[in-house]
Order: sequence, then C-alpha cells, then structure tokens
Amino acid sequence: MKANIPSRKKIKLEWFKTDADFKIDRKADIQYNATSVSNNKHIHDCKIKYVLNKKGEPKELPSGSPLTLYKGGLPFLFLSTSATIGNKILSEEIIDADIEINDDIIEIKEGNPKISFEDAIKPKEHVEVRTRYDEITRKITIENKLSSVINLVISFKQTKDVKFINAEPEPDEDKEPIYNFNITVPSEEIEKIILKLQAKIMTRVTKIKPEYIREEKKNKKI
Amino acid sequence: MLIDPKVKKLIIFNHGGGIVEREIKVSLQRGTNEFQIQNIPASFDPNSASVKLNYLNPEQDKDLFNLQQTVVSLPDPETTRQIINREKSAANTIISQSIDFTREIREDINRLCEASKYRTYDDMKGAFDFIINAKKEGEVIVQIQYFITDLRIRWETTLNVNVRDDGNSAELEAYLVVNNQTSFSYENVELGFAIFELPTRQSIGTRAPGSPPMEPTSINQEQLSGLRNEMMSELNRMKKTQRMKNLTL
Repeated sequence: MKANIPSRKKIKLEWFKTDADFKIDRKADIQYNATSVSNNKHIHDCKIKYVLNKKGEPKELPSGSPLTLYKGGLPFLFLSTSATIGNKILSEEIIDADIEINDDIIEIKEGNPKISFEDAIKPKEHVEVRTRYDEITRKITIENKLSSVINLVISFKQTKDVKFINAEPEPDEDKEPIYNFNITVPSEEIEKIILKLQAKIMTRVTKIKPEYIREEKKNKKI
Repeated sequence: MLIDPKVKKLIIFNHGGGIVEREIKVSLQRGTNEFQIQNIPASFDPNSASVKLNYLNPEQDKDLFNLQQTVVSLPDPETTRQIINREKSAANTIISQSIDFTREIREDINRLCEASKYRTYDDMKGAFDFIINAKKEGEVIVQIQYFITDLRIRWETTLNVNVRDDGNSAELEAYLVVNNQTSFSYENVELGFAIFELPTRQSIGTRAPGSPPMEPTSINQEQLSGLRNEMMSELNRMKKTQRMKNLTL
C-alpha cells in the first residue's frame, strides 16, 4: 500500500471490507467464600462481549482498537477490541446494564460442629477449632430489561470453602470446579436458578486448657 | 557529497516509531567517496542504522566497491532545547503582540507558531554519513535502513460494524489511521504496519535507543529511594518476549 504521510496530519486508509458472523456473548461469574455465601443479597454483573467471525484471510488487529457498532445506519455502541484469534475478533468485555442479576439467600441449614484442638502459642492454652458444614440455598434471578430475547451463561465456580451440591435447573456443563448454566431469558421476563451449596464454616477460639482452669481460679481467689 | 535518498518504505509501529528504508543510486569516483544523508531525524537510532550496497553487476562490482564505514551523530540535547525554547518564546511574542494580520498572513503565522509549539528534540536533524571505497568509477544502489524512536508517529485501526437486521451477521469495515505528529513528511511511500512496542526503559534511568542523553538533575533522598524500588521491581520482573507482527494488507 502506497500513501503520502504529511507532517502533523492524520490520514485514514481503507484496509478491508468483509462480511462477518456476529455473536453476542453474555456471561456472569458467581463465586462465594465462607463469609459471602451466607450474605442476604448479592448483585452480579452481566458481562457482554461481541464476537465477530470474519470471512477471508485472518488479519491481526492490535488490542484496544476502536470498534463502533451500527444498527440501521446509526451508531449504537462505542467500544474497543480486546484480541484477535485467527479470523475471530473479540470486543472488550463491558457490563450490560439492561440485565439485572440478583442473588438472594433462601435457607441455611447449619450442620453439627466438630470440635478439634490445635496448639496455641502459650503452653497453657489451646485453640478450639469448630468446623461445621452448612447447607445453603440461594436463588439467582435474571431479569431481561431488553426488548429482545437474550442468551447468557451463568458460571458458578466452587471454591475451597463453598462446594456445589446441586441446582435447579441442572447445570448444562459440569466441569468441576466450574458449573455453567445456559439461560435464555425472553424480553422483559425473569428466569431463576436455585443453587444448593455446602459451605465449610470454621471458627477458632483460643482457650485455657481445662487442667489449668482450676489453678487459675485458685490464683484469683488468693 | 550531500544526498537525499528517497524513502521507499516506512514500517510504522502501533505504539509509535518505525523503520525507514531509503534508497538512492550514487555515482562513485575512483578512491574514497564520502556521502552525507539529508533529512535524518534526530529520533533515529544510531545503533540500528545500516547501509547496504546493491551492486548493478554483482559479480564484477562486489570486489570493486565496498563500504568502508558509517558515521552517525545526534544533535546536542541541551543546545537543541535552548533553540526550541527560544523559538517557542518568539512564537508566543508574535501571537500576543500582533493584532492586525490579514487573513493570508494570519494563516502563515499560525502555521509557523504551531510548528514551533509542537517542535521537540526528535524534530531536529541528525547526521548520517558513510564512506564507500571504489577501485574504479561506477554506480551502486545504496539502501539505508534505520529505526525511528519518535513515538509521535503511530497507527491504529478503527472498525465499523454494521449489524444486519437478522442480528447474526454484520458488514465489517476496517480502516488504518496513521497519525504523524512529527515534522517529517513521507511522500508516496510503501507503507507497512507492525504491532510492536519499542523498548523504553527511561523510568529506571536508562534511555531508549536514539533518545537524547538524560540531563543531570539533582535527586533528593525520597526520589532516590523510589527510584531504587522501581529498579528492584524491574530487576525482579522477567522480560517477556515481544515479537513484531506484520500486518497483512
């Protein structure tokens, strides 16, 4: 390609024009820890990404290139590219403000605590470790405020403290520790997922060993 | 002899800078032939500058003409800075004290003042000389290649996606936007575009290739400690590969 590059000027050159398959990827990631799993409410973001699968030979695009989406000849979204993989052009991920994902607690079934002891720093003390496994039920509601039907993937990732038991509906993809739910939400409708989880709750309290408690009391009386 | 080889190819990096390829056919006299290349920006990297001889009759000329040496130098940063500051100050004086320009003069003055406002060290000219030894009279094509580390010349792409009514297909239009804020122009050049970032390590006290030497400054204890931390983190960080990707046009 030949061109004139004048000083202190910006020039625009046509590069390519082609057809492309257009796809919208919506995703929400859900993950809890031992504390957040029992919170009353969480609001999750629905991330949206545009994927273009262009025809013709692959073109390398630098990440962060401006990308403008037009519909009916009018621009409706300004964003930038995040990567190109072969003929696939991926936009950056942004939050879809028209999809609301609320996550509320339904039930907590507390398990029986198992008590074990660990050494403390002081020889007269020990650490009492109470471990219990709670069964927690949470409801995730997805509200589509758009005028068209949407598909999105709710991806639950289990952690060392919060394990997946089951869900209603069942996950479409079960690749432990990730459980994916493919959800379709019609326009202005709400869909829900019920998650049943197991949370490992541990509490640690440093106490005086029982054999030293009397001694302590005697010392106090004196 | 002063020569101005034509810029044949310009490969621009998306993060700024690029590679310039110039070419000229020169006539050689028997003995030592000294040439000085014109219009070399001060942003050129002396270490990467190279001269290659392309012989018209390779078999005969190979033994007759050879490159003896290249000589490169950059303008002094301190002197250049003073000159630029004086020009900027003169431009400000013209703008603040003159009110009765006619339209034609106003445009010329604007152009001059703008040029001085944006001028930096990289807009100055460096020197690139080379010497060719010839055993007899003749001609040779000289190819000159150098990196320019001026980050004010760069490119980016811009994409327009026209989504069709079905919502599953789109028409994709891609444009290349070249932004040249340097004072050098390139006429009818073969353009190349690469995804590449020139290594700059100015933050830890070293400088990018071709950039002017750093000015001595007084550093207080706090700055010194910050600089030390920065250097340590730089040392701990492993270098990543950075391969230049050429764009297929």
